[in-house]
This record gives sequence, structure tokens and C-alpha cells, in this order.
Amino acid sequence: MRDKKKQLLWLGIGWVLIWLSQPLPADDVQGYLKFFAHPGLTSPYKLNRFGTRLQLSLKKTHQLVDLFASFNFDLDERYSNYQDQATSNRATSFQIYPVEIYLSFHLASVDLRLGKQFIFWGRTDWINPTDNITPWDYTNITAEIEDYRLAVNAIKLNWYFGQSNLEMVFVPYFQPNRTGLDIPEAQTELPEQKPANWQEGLRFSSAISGMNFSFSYWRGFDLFPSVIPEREGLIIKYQPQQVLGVDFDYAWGRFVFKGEGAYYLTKDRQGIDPFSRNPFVYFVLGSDCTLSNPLSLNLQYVEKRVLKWHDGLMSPQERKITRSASARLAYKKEGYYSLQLISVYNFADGDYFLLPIFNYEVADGLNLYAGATFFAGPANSPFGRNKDLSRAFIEIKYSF
Amino acid sequence: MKKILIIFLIFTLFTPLLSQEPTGREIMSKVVLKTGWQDMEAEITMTITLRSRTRTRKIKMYSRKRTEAESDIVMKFLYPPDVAGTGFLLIEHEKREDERYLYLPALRRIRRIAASGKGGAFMGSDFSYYDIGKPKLNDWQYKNLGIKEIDGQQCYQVEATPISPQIEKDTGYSRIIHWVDPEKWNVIRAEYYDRRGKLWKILEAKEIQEISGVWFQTHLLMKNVQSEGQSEMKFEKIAINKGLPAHLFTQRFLSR
Repeated sequence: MRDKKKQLLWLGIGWVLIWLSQPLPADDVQGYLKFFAHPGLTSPYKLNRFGTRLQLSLKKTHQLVDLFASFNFDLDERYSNYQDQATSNRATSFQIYPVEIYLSFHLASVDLRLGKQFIFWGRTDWINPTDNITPWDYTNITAEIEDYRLAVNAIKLNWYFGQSNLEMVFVPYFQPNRTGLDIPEAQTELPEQKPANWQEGLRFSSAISGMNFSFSYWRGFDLFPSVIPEREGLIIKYQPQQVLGVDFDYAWGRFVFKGEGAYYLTKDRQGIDPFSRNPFVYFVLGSDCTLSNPLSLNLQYVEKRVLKWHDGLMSPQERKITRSASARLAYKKEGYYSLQLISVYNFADGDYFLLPIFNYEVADGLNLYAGATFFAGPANSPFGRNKDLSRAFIEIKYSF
Repeated sequence: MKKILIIFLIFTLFTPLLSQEPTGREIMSKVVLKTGWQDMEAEITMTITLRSRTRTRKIKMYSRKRTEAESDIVMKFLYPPDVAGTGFLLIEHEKREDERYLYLPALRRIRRIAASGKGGAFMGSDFSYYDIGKPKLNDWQYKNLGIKEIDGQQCYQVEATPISPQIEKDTGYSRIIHWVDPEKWNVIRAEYYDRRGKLWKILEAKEIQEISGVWFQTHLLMKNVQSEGQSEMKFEKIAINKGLPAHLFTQRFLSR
């Protein structure tokens, strides 16, 4: 009932925005129409998702103020084959929801953005240890970022001085990753809504002699859940954490060197609670390389080191040191087609993630996307656990 | 004998002054370092044709000279809708690597791209990133090949060869032949040769207009003789020396 009310509210807001957009030049209203099919890649090979989306975006600029609103109208059929196959989990739905909706104020040296927005931190490719604000939807990784990242309601202030920028972010309501984790007997407990649980952070960015760098601090909650046994049964919780981060990029010839690292200070500071994450260090070092004109390669080394390690007190899923590598190979014939292969490989368990994406530009504004999301590896490994989220995707998108 | 020697010395010393024939570098200096404008903005319509398939891109461009040898360019894509909002920022440096940033609205992120990707195709066109940037005078050595006639017009023909193998590798050009209009100091035609020495592209300035006292190439056609494709750039709504603010050439503006 509450959901219905919420949908009606969004429908109302959507209509108001469309109505507001009537006297506007056509250029201010944009969007796309997309048909999509997501067949599952694991037995029993159900068509996980099949549907149509209309996205309407309105951008209106008035002197120092921008209004941006983007709504999705989804007519969607879903079948979750990662759940218990005995209970059919097929759902047909019509949903209207905002992708982003915000007001931006641009003053001489300050930008202020209020509302639902994407906020990304970090400079490395695909894996960003300092990026803990905008959650992921791991159940819906496709060609476009707005399909698998979830905008947050936030206040973001950027203060620019010289070559530097100080960004302040405030997110009052916590929104977790969508991981597809489904434990029927477990209860999910989101952080209580109180000032002490508001999330906030700072990021200082600058440049010296062609090198861009940032230092950041984030106080918030782990976007991934922890499953904790309590008297009443299992509880899915999101633990508080503080993250101190640093990142840089530097261009040299055909290369752009990138690095990003973070120290995570978790609730279990001494490492004595086996159900909470210990403090850890997480970093990525790598480089983009232009191999030949339309062919580029990004290679990265990723390492996570758990601190305060106590044998026997650690979760069996935790490793003291986890080493991985990621790669992105891209071939782009701009205006015609592009091929991209993104991959992440964990050395310890031999599990991996693959995301090949093919985009063919049929005509100006008309694109065909085809690709697949593969999670593979031993059953208890980070990617192996998500095998059932593997699927292909085919999408036709007309932008206007 | 002494008399002949004196006459010979006078002749040798004063011949260059008497002929007043500019060197290749002097000609290209005038072209590259045109001092008539400090900044400009324009709307560009780029039409890319390959195998009878045509793609259109509309771009808003801002450019400014920071120093005589350094300039900044920012471009924002207006059309087609699926690339609208894409932004490109180029900050040129004389003594270190240029900075290049690409803003992709689908990713909501600014990505730094390699400076030596300058030989790469600009948005899939037959213009490279190097072609659309301000050519660096010191990247090339020049030779005046004399006055040549093209389409009934007398032009200086100047050959440019890369100053180092790295420049050749970065730009993809082993040689460029420029035809320079000696009145407007504009390149009206150029031939680009690939690293194997084969003719690769031909640039034609189809239209040159005088805007605020400066002669501008307002319609460029780049023919790729190897792929048989071609790209056209038409400049409209050109404004010069409006005092474009420095904040336009920043990552902040790129993502707005």
C-alpha cells in the first residue's frame, strides 16, 4: 500500500515536471526509449528480465540555478532465478521512479547540489576503494552505469580555489548495495534514522605538475551486508565504518598512471568480533595505455590487507591478504561500434568476473547493446557466490 | 682579384635580405601564432561520412590562448542525443605533457586520457586530436618549397617534418605539406602523409571568413584517401575576443 502511494507520488511529480516542461524548448526535455532482455546464464536459464523503459529528463537552467530531473517509466517482467526454484518468483510491474532529481546552484567559487544524485569518488578503473557513497545494484550490471548504480539523496558542496577543490558530501539516509543476497530466515536491519547515523565526508582534490590527486574522508556504513547470528536468528546488518582515502592520476606518453587506496576503520577495531569486518587497507595501482589508435587497455593490481588479524577469530570468508587483477580492453570505432571487455580475477580463489559489452550505433541516437555479466569460481569465493547473477543482456535504445 | 672577392662577400651577405623570401618556419609562425585573437567560441557541425553512411555531431567549442604557445580548448557535444553532454577539455603545455580530459555523462565521471593519443581520431572523425588542437610550432621543422598555384591562387608551399620520432609516433604524420595563403595567413590546403610516407589525408579550407579582423577557416573538409571517408567541420556563431572566463577551461565546467 505504502509502495503504491509512493508510486502515485512519483507519478504526480513526473506529471508536474512534464507539465512544467511544456513551454520549454524541446532541447530541455530529453530521454530515451529502451527495449531490453536479460536471459539468465545459469540453469534453469530463465529470461530474468524483459521489458521496456521510457526515460524522461528535464534540464532547466535559470541564471545560477540548474534543475535536473530524470524519471524512469519501467514496464518490466522479472524472474529471479537465484532464489528458491520451488517458488516461482516472476513479477510483472510498472514502475515510475526518479533516477536523479536535483537542484544545482552555481556561485562564483561554489557549486551546491541538493537532491537525488550520483556521487563518485576515485580515479581508478572499475574498482574504487574510496567510492563508498553511491551503492551498486549487482543484480543488474549492464552496459550503462545508471542501471547498476543507485543515486542517493544528498547535499554536495564543492568549493573551488585555484587548482583545488574541496568537496563536502552529506547523506542523511543510508542506502545499501543490492547484492541479491537472500536468506529467508534472516531479518534485515538498516541503520536507525538518527543524526548519529548520518553519513558525511570530505574530499580535497588538487594538481601539481600535471599530477591530479585527492585526499578523502568518509564516515558512513558498509554498503555490503554482514550476516550476524543473534538470539532471534540471523540478522543482516550494515556496519559503520570510516574511510581515509587517497588517489592520483598522471599522464606520461601513451600511459595514464592511476592509483587509489583507502584505510577502512571498521567497528571491530581490535579484530575480535568474527562477525564484523576488521580494519583493512585496500588499494589499486594501474595504468591506462593507448595501444593503437582505437585500442586501449587498462591493467590494475588490486590488494586488500586485513589488519588486526587473529587466527581463529576471523570469518571463514575473510583472507588476510587478497590479491586481484583487473583489466579493461576497449576498441572503439567512434560513431560506429565499440567492443569492451572488463574483467576482474582473484588470485587466491581463482574466481573471476567478466563483462563483455558490444555497442553498435545503428544511426544517430539509435544504439544496440549486447553483452553478458559472468560471475564464476568456487562456490565460496567472492565471485563464485554470485554465479546465479550471471546473465546476458540485449538492449535497443533510442535517444531523443 | 681583391675587388672580385669584396663583391662576392657583399653579394653573399646581402642576398637573403634582398630576396625577402620567408623561411618555412617564418610562414608557419605567422599561421600558428596568429596574434589577432585571444579567445573564440563557436558552434561546430561535424559530418562524418564513411561508405555512404553519415554521422552528424554538433559541438559547442570554446578556445583561448593562455600564452603565445599554449592554449586551452573545451568542447561540449550537443547532438546526437546519446552523446549530448559529452565534454572534452584540452589544456596545452609548452614544456610538459598536455592534459586531456573526457567527461562522459553516462559514466558521470571525468576521465583523464593519454596525451599522446593525439594521433587518435577525434570522435570518430578523420580529424585527429592533434588536428583540432593548436599545432605546436616547435614540433616540426619547416622548409619553404616556394610559391605554388592552387585553384588559381598563389600560395606558399611549406613542408613540415616531425622534429623527433616521438612526434611522428604521437601524431601519426611523417610529413605535412601546407599551402598557405600569403595574404590571410591561413592554410587553405594540407596533405598529411602517414608514417610509411604514403598520402593519408587531404585538408581543404572550403571557406575562410574575416571575423573581428581575423581570418578564420569556417568550413574544413578532411578527406581520408586511404579509407575513402571524409569529415566536414562547419563553424557557426563564431565570436572572437569576448574575454572568455578562465573557469570555462576547467574540469568543473566540463562536467556541468
